[in-house]
Amino acid sequence: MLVGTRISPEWLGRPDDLRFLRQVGVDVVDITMSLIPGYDETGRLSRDGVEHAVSRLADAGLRIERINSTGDATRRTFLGLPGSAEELDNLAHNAQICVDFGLPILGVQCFQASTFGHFPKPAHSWVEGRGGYQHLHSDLSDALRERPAPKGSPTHEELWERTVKIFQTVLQVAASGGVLVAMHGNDPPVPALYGAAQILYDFASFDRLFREVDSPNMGMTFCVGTRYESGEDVFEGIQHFGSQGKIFHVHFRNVHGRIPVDGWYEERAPDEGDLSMFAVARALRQVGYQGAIDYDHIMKLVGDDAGKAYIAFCVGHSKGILEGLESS
Amino acid sequence: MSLPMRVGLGQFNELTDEMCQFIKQMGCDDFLMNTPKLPGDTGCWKVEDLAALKAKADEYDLRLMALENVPIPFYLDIMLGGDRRQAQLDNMVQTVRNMGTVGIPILGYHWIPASVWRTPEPERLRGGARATRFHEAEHAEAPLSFDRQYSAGEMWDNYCWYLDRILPVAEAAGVRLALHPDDPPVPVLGGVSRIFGSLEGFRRAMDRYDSPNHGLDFCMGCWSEMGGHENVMKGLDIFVPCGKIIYIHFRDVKGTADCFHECFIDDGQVDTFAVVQRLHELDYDGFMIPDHVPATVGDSPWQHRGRAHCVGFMQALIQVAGKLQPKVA
Repeated sequence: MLVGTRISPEWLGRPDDLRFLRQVGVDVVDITMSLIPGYDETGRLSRDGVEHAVSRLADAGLRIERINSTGDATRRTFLGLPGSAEELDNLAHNAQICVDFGLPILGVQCFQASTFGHFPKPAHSWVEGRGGYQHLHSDLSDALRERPAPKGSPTHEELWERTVKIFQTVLQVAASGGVLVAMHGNDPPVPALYGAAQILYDFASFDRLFREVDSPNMGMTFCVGTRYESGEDVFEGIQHFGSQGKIFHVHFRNVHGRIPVDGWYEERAPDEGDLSMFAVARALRQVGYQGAIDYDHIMKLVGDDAGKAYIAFCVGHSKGILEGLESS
Repeated sequence: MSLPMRVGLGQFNELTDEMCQFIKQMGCDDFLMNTPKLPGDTGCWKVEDLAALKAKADEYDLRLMALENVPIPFYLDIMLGGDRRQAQLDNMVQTVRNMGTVGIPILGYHWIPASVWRTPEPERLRGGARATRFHEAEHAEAPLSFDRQYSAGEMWDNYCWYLDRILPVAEAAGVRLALHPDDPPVPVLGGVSRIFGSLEGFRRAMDRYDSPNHGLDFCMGCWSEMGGHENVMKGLDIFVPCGKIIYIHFRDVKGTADCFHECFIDDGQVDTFAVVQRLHELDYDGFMIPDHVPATVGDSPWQHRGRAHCVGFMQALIQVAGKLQPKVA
């Protein structure tokens, strides 16, 4: 397995930061398409832009594992607004770029209710953990109360139809070109937020998506954090999806608390959540997973405004886990 | 109460609030300070200054486990058998007693009056990170570090003179003395013989001064320099069961004593997970700290990022070892 991390768009212009990642032992990166100039304006990846990104990363000894399309790229399609045809065309174009550049995994966002709603208050807040480090606390008690769907929010059925269409469009290009398409489930993993539906929040819904978009190139970012938050068994999930070859990419973060049990959860440093990250890595190995583990979200340490000490800690932790795994 | 094997931090010399917070945030409760910046004009550390460190640690619910190294001038004549050795001994006795009074349980020490040697021009590691290196051949023309050559026999005699006198004081004060290897562990540098660079050297010191208050600061980096993975494991097998390993510097190198460079902890010649597994099997109940870490771009002078990387790695190894071989409570 490899150690991966996401990078923010501005990092591409900061070669020292990229070198730092390589120095601490990051092998591969997860980028958002927003990192490619022109994408946010047009929704389309430019060849020059991708070439530049690939080359800047290579200068630092890094390569792209996953390139992730943004929620904006499919907004009109999900909401049933005019302009869907153009979005789908852009997605197909972007998939072709991935094929042409040999980018291994294309991430396509599912519909996240949080990107739609004008919600009364954010569910996330920063709280103090050991020694006063700041980590995320999510209290969903208000967001999960039953209420009517907000005006204009897509129904469950509409979301299924549109989701399948989006993934089929992408797969038509990606599959023949050897690119894997990874879906990341809903974050937070719940059927609705403030009454707005979302559909990819549990194992059964992932199964349905993989039935309806039936391709060996269709799979998932197995986000250990959201899977644990959902209350479902992370290890069963790894076994279930891993044995079908559906796990293309892994978000390897630790959590304390589960939504169905506690109504809240906290994102925590990898060594102090409810999960043994070693047990998670071992389960991944058992299903033959060979991709990247990515520590995902960044918590705040004292004096670490750039987040680099936290990144270093997480990469060190991931490498320690893999070291133990190799010898066990 | 016995504590489990655990990760700590150290190798800084000023205890700030931010440092205390950072240690806790790394998931650690233990730390040491290396040559703390304390008033030392008189050649010893006073109770009130040591007590202030201890109080700061207590405020953050941290264990100040050790002070590693007094300034070399505190005991240079002791090491070299110089004129001022009796006066320096009197001061060292006072420092050890003061540490005992305050409740700082370990004093780390070394026997290298000319200190640690490295060769200029760092080694380049992955991503261009820099690490120190040592190549003995490049120091062939080095001048004498002191007025003359000091033989191994002489260094040992001076050592015995000191231990004969300081160890009983440490025993009475409840302070443990932890001997760090000579780094690099080659026979002579700058004309001064280095007598703690081999298993035989440590055995001799531990046998001659066999006390619960005497043991080793097991620098894995130096043991790796002396003979790689096998040598590290051998050292653990010999010295952990008899309780001689007081704490551990968790670093590694590539190469041998006369030609090596330091490296990232995940990239050295020691199978670090096997080391932690062995420590776990042997019920090692001390702490281990990152020691030197490679220089990464943009890091702080103390290398917060490099140390965080090493702590994360160590925390993971200990967790995995515990998971694979759970202990019955």
